[in-house]
Amino acid sequence: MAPITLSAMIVLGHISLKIFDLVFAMAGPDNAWTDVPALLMFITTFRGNQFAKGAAIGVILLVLVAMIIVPYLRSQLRKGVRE
Amino acid sequence: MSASRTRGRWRWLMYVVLCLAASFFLMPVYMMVVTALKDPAEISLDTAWQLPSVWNWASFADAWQAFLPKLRNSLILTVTASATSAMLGSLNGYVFAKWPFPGAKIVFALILFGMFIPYQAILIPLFGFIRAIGLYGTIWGLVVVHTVYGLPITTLIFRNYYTEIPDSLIEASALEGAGFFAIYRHVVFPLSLPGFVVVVIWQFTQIWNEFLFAVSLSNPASQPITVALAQLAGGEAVRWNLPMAGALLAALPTLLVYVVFGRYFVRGLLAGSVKG
Repeated sequence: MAPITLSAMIVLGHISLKIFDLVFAMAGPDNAWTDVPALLMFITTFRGNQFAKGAAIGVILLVLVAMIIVPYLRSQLRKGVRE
Repeated sequence: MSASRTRGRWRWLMYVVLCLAASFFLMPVYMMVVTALKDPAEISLDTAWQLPSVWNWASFADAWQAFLPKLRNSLILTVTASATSAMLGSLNGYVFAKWPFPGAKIVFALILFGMFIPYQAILIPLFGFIRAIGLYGTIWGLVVVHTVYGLPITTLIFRNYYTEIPDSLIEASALEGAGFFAIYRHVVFPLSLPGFVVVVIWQFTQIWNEFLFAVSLSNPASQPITVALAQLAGGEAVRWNLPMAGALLAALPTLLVYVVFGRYFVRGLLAGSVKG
């Protein structure tokens, strides 16, 4: 169970890191209590017209996701080679 | 005897817990159906959980009227983008499974990483690009985006699926004089139906439900249903029966796809993942 649990946690973890549409639709885009990075990026860019700041938030999100996903992909592909 | 009785009791407990969990998950669905069937005047927070006193089926007719263009947008977008990305993913998977080239592993890893890139990280350049090629505000811009964003997952699924096809089959066809595309057309493609079922269900659901690209790259005329629903539900004085009925309508196509192809889905996923 341990490997599959880890896989599920990583896959779901990166999805929740990127969550956007549920928050946008349910809590509304202007609700500060439910702000998440993905939503902040959208608001900053397209409502605030601050494209540079929005891009920076996007890059931070990318780095956060890469920190989780790159080691995971490496271990997965290594395992594929060994089999 | 007593051991089997204990097991029976555990089984009962398990079913009770499962039923509780299932009803918990179905609560929003109940709320959606009940609210959709109420008269707008009857909808309030206090009576939100009660059944409607008069069943107001007209909500569905109204929602159908209001959302028909958006549903059509969603349908065109989803069908075109699913078909294109499935087709290209199938070719990609064929190359990665059967035609290894130098550096194929690295390229494959990079393509897989594409699956995990947050949409926000590429949103601004994407926005500029779609605008530059003149597809901003059209469904076709969204079709392009979803086709490209679908490639990693379709490539992965088809590559895993095609690994199962014996190499000897490909070699035999090559000896007969069949080239790259001839082998694909006459040998690999006819074997791909289960792979296509899995990929199309997956892509259909993903693209149908996608929101961020849809909200940033469409205008009111080319909005998919997800965006239209969110905007209708976003105001202050909302007649809630309409968005609820619309949400129910919007959920039907994916539900239908699952019900029709569902059994292939599980089987096909397993077929791709277990190496023989």
